[in-house]
Amino acid sequence: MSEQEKQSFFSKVRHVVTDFIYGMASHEMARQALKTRGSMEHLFILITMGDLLGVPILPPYYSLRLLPYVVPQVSTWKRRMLREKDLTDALA
Amino acid sequence: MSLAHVFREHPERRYIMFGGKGGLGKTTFSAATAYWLAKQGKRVLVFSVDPQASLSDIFQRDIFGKGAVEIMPNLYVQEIDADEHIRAYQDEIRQKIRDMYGFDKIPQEIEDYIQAASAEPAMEESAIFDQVVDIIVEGGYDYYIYDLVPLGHALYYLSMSSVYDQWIDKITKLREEMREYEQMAARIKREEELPEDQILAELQDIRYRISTSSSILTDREKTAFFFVLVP
Ligand SMILES: Nc1ncnc2c1ncn2[C@@H]1O[C@H](COP(=O)(O)OP(=O)(O)OP(=O)(O)O)[C@@H](O)[C@H]1O
Ligand SMILES: [Mg+2]
Repeated sequence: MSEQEKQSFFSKVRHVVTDFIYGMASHEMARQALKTRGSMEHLFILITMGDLLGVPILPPYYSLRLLPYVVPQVSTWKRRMLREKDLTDALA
Repeated sequence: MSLAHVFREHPERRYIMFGGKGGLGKTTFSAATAYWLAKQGKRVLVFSVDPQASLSDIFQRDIFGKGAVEIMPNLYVQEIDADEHIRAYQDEIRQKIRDMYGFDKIPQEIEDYIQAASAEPAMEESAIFDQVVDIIVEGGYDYYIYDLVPLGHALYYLSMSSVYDQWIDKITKLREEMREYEQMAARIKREEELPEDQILAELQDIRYRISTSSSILTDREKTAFFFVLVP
């Protein structure tokens, strides 16, 4: 391998490695963003559909208006919420 | 009577509420004022949420739960039937759920929720609130006269209005923030079009309507509030 070829080889490797690390980092960031989004979803349903647990928060008239959109979440959510222990932290 | 004077001096006060203890003449004053303004050529809506339908009595027409009814030129009267409105609203929600998911029958858990939410006293209150918001936001009249039920109701309505306003604002902001995280993830993953967040769209619509009506009703330039007292 000539000096020149070596250089270009290493620069390619660096490129690939940087891309790879960058890819990992952005994957991690995307995952974090979605995770945050997911736990907010939790909080959101609690606030809007709270009376599922007997805590009315949003006026019921408006809570019914949102109900159609959360039908799939409602049943799984109720079960999850009951064992969620950091709920109070989320609300603080 | 110097009410006429008030309306001549303050043409920008287009929203009028009569409050005061029971049986002192709120409905009578509302009707008389509406009649007078209509005679001046103003397009007037007088409305109430009183289940006793006393506007029907005074105008001698059965208008309860029938929307805005024209009694004479320029004079429209509306009596909101809260119970009937809630029933129709529930059916609308059920139909929407059936259409959205292709269900024949509403899942039990969801039906239970609809029943439970509707059984709360806050349901009637928020339904009435929304009906008034509807009337105010829709527009189309020169004057709006709100014939209130018992004392406290007017002030209660106004304070409710600001509480709802703040709640909806907070919840909408939370949803907007959720949307930002979603968009961030989509950008990083170089995903194309994110589908519209329908919940956010509903919340923004609710927020717009509530803040529009509450800013009108709490504006002393636009809203006149009269207490009917015993002379
Ligand atoms: N200025 C007045 N002089 C004499 N009687 C009046 C006067 N205003 C109202 N009334 C009578 O008092 C009674 C109650 O009036 P009205 O229904 O307008 O009161 P209200 O405040 O709307 O009552 P509620 O709190 O039950 O809605 C009616 O029978 C009406 O005819
Ligand atoms: Mg009355």
